[in-house]
This record gives sequence, C-alpha cells and structure tokens, in this order.
Amino acid sequence: MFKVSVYVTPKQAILDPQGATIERALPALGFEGVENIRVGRFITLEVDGSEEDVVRRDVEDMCRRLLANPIIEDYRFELVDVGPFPGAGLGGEVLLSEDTPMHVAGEHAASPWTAVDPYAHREEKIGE
Amino acid sequence: MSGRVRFGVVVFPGSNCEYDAVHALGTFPAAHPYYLWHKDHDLQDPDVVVLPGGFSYGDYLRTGAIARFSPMMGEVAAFAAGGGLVLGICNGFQILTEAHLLHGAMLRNRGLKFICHAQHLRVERTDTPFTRRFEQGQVIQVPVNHNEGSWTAGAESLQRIEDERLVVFRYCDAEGNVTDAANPNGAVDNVAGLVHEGGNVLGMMPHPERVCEAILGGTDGRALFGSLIDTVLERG
Repeated sequence: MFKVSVYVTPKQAILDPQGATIERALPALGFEGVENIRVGRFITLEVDGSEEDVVRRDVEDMCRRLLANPIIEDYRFELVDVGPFPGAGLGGEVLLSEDTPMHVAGEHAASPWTAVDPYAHREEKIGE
Repeated sequence: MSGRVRFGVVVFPGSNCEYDAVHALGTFPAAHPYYLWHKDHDLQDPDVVVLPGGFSYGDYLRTGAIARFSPMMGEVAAFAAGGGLVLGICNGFQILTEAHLLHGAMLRNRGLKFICHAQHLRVERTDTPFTRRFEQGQVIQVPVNHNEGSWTAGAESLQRIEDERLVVFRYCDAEGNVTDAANPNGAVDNVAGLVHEGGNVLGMMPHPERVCEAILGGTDGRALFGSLIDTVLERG
C-alpha cells in the first residue's frame, strides 16, 4: 500500500490573485521582502498496490485527468510504500482499536475512489 | 404547427439554474424543455442539450471537474461530436472546458469577489446557431453571477481561437467598447462566451435564461434561444 502526497499549484504564467492578496497582507503583519506567493492544493491518498511503477503510473493518470487541470496547474507527487500490512504507519504503529477514527485499510475500508452520490435520494424527484 | 424543439437540461448534484432554464424555455411556444438526470445515459432525443448554472458537486476540487465525469457527459460528448447543439451556461461552461469540449480553463475572478450584476456583452459573431438573431457587434445586457469565470487558455489555443474566430461574446461597456475596465473577472481577451471549432457547442458565463422576460429586467436572452429554435426548425 502506498501513501501518496500530491501538490497542485497554479502554473507560474497564471495570475494568482489569492497569492497576490496574501503578499499584500504580509507587510501589515511586519513581514517585508516576501514575493511570489502561490496558493495551491495538497491532496493525500492511500493507494492499494505493491508495484511502485504501476502505482506511479496510476497516480500520474489521476493527476492529469482529475486532481489537476494541466491547462492551468502544475502537479507533482511523492509516494511512500508502507508495505503489505494495512494500518502500518511510517512509525510502525498498527491501528487495531475500534475506537480509533482511522480506518485499517482492508475489506471494510471505503476506497477514496468509490463513487458516493449524496444526491441519490433525488433520483425520483428529477424528471417531473 | 411545426415540430416542438426539444431542449434537454442536464441536472447535476448542486446545479441550481435548471429550473430557470426550463422556465425561460417554456416562454417559447416552439420549445419543449425537459430535465435530464446526470447519472442516466439517455438524452431522450434532444435537439439541444443545455448544461445549466449552479455549483455542481459543490465546486469541489475545481469547478466542473467532477461533473465532467458524470455518466450523462459521455452522451453529451457523443452528441456534440455528431454535430448536436450544446449550450453551457456558467457552471455548464465550466463543465464543458473541463470536459475539453471547449478550449481553455476557468480561474477565480481576478478581483477575488463573487460578481453579480447586469453585464454588457458584445456579440462578436452572428453566424452561429446561437446568435443568428443578433446583429454583428450588437451590445446586449445579460446578468453574470460567478466567482470563477476568468476564462483563460494556452498560447496555442488562443491562436487557434483567433484564427477560427471562435469567440462569440466579449465583455464590454455600454457603448460596446471591449476594454479592461469593462472586464468583470479578468478573462483573457474579455471572452465571455465561445464555441468550439464545429460551431455547435457554446459556453458562456453570463445567464441568458435570466433575461427572457421583461418583468425580470431584460429580454436580450430571447434572441439566443430563438436562434437555436430557428436553427432546429430549419433543419426540419
């Protein structure tokens, strides 16, 4: 299982008004000399798999098609193989207690790619 | 009486302008508007597909980014590829760019504010199924209502858009001058709406369905839907 971190940032050529606004706010806090602030997105995923090449290719595909818009955003990602034992964190902790809010990756874990439609109950109402 | 022109209005979770679109179309006797649910696969034989405004999927991740993968969007893409008429309004325009049915991408408004006002537009082309009832260079007023409407595109796309004259509406002032001051969101070249190369898919940020009845403050949107009706009826 791989823990993946995806960083999505606006392309340098794109105007980033959020970044510009933050830049203008910093001097009011006493910070001078701060430039080129860009605001992006940080996404974490856990991906089933044992082969890094395959996972890397899949994550690349996810980034290109959904997680980033390549027309206006750059992306990069890092992945860490946390081994075949679900729930094993980098520090070797094993999550076993039912009280912990974190999932143990396994048959009961909700895959982030399972489509859940919060509006499913509307299906009968649409189409009047 | 000639045949009814079928307008299929696709509803996504979070769409909120589908009712307005159906209502506005209902003021045209020749039009038969109906709803389509995003998870279905049957467009039900439309003459025109409308992607309405709203906040599909809460604008999560990027506006329109998730809606583009709805099952119905596969049908919409096939319909468009076959020459079918598709109109994307506001969030619909955003979905069409994410689906690559139109050039470009949407950014947050450069002023970072959600804008909501009656906006002047200049009609750049009248030889499309969407604008044939307008005059070349006509100045119309259509409401804008968005936070992410700053359309942009890469240099190659911009060149192609220029060469093929794909821009249909530009933001302008009351006199029709296309200036930076008249640009409400920072969109490149004041682009408010454009078509893809085939000319049968149009996306626009302003809401023409909100100016189809005088009581609502304007009727400049009527010529757009009228143009579509004319086009379909002509095809027979």
